[in-house]
Amino acid sequence: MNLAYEIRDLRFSYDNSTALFIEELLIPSGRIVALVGPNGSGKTTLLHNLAFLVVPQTGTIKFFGELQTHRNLLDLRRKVGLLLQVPYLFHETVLANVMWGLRVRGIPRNRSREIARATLEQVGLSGFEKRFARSLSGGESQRVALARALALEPEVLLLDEPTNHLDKESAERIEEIVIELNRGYDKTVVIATHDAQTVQKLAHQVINLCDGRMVNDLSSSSSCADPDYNNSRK
Amino acid sequence: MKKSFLTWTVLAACMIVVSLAHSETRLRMSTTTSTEASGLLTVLLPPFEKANNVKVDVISVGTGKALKLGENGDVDVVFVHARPAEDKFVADGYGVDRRDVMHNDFVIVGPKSDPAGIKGAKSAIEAFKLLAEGKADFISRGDNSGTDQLEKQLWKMAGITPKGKWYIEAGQGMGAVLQMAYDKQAYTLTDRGTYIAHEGKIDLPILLEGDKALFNPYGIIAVNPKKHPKVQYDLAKKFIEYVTGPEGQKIIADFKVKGKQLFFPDAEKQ
Amino acid sequence: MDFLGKALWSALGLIVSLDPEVYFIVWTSLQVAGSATVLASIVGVPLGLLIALNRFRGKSAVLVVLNTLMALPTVVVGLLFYALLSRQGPLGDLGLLFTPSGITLGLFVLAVPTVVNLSLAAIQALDRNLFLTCKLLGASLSQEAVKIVKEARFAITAAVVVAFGRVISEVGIAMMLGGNIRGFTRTMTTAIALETAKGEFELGLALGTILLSVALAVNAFLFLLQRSGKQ
Repeated sequence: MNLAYEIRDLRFSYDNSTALFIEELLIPSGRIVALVGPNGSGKTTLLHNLAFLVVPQTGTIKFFGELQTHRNLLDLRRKVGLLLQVPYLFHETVLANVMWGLRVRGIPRNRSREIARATLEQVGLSGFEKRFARSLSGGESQRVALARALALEPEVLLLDEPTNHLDKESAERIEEIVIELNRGYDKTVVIATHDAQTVQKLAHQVINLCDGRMVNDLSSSSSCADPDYNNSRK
Repeated sequence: MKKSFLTWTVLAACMIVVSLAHSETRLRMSTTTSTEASGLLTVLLPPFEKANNVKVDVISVGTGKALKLGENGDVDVVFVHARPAEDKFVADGYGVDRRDVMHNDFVIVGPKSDPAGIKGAKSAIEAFKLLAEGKADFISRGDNSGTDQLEKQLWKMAGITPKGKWYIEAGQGMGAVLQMAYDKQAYTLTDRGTYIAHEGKIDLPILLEGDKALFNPYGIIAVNPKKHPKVQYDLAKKFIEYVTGPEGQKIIADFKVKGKQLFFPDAEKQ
Repeated sequence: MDFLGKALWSALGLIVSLDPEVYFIVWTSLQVAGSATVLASIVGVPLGLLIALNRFRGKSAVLVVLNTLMALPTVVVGLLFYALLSRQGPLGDLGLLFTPSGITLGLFVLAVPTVVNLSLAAIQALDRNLFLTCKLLGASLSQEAVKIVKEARFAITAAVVVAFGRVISEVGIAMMLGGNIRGFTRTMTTAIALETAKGEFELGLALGTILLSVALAVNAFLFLLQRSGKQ
């Protein structure tokens, strides 16, 4: 089986305090992996490392067999899509937002437009092209961010608590899209979440994080109990 | 979006290019504000400019600064009216080829009521003595200009050091000082040219005139090329010859403000 | 009040009469102020970007200095550059003294701290997630820089407008470095100074009115441009 990520002895810290310490983590390709843990357990930090936004102080990450170094950072970054908890949309139209990542990669304007339109349709936002992106609702914004990431055809899709701030309907829609991406297109997905139902519905594998480390069971120590876990949806 | 960016860049480039392009030959002359204000230069310069295909840049500042610009070599020729300062300028080696050009005169103006009673005075010095005795409000230029230097010289000759509330040092140009004198109903020393130019607006009668001590001679000096090799000495010399020659002198004599002649040509034939 | 009324009327008269001297003075002002602002923006905005986004030793000192420079007294800049550009100064050979380019240089130096400081503030006010988003969408540093400036474009345009306002109303530098030469380096502000010194208050005020109108026109134009950009 192909490994999307092979991580060994990874240590990452912001300014002196170690935020993340992972001895070994293997994420198989084509799977949906859920990342679970209380706030501050290092979920976001791990995702940022997987997105190659930051470089760990020690340790290695192999992405589909390719070792991450300082030189291939931008290349690897372009192969991974990441959705932030609260998406930042540019002060432009929805279409322009989705097109930007393509233009950045040198794809000509017309082709970018085509791809962007198709992706918006994929996430159910046809007709939203000319809307001012910042005027959309939470659920719509998250879908624009998703379209923006998908248009770039990443090999891996990372989602940081994507349904946290959303209403039930929008949350379900996002989840449907993720399932479709995985089942239909074999995309590897890593999704950080508090929601037990999401885990149930989507995940092939669960990773528990506590204080920056992987643990087998979150309920074993009180400090790792996630008060938000098992929260039923609004 | 791309189109407007392009237009902006083009516009910006134009502005920058235009501002950098100025390749005509230019003769730089420093003179006093009162000289430029008189309007003489607008008739005196054009014939020279046309005949020699140059532009004369006139920088009008106070006498002190005009000479300083000559010292620094920032101008090619200096045209002021402060004989002692001019002589020093030449003696110090900053200027060469000094020539007399013309003279106008100064007058003492003041309130109609003439509280200090200078109207009948026989000389400017006497008038100044009366002003100091009567402690009448007097506005001084206070800016080391030609006018200011003459005024200080008169005080000196009268043996008085003017001090006190009545002696107001304005630090401004002649027009502003005249206005101030009018507003405060005070006395002041002014060149006739500025006075005539303001005649309608400022109702301060001339209380003393004609004294030789009030004559205001103008001199023109080329900046010494030995001190500043980059000055346009030849062009400056040409200009000096023009101004002191028959054509320039005639223009000076014919120049009238409100029908009255302001300047009297003084250049000796050389 | 009659005084002001007369001035407004003269201002109108000056504009309508198409007096070439007046138009040339206005053009000179626009030219030097415009060039200075454009150049200051080209240098200042990237500089503001660099300072805003990077951590480095002495950053706080730089910020304090920038703030101080925003209040630079113009006569100081004028004096300093006069000494530099004078024929016997180190840059005398450039022949910039008493030319419009000389004024532009002085105004440029005046405008840069304002542009840098306000651009910096504009960028620091941006949502941090913008920087993250640019990176995660795979942008290179320069692509990210352009995007950041675009996202902050309103505040940055405001910075440019402030700088323009500062330079077009400036008189000390224009006087010292330009020399107020008729038909060459006379700007609206130096013309006003001259007329006022001559006691021609009416004419001075009339020119002042024109100056205000020009500043208003430029600002209105930029505002409309911004608005059309929004839609």
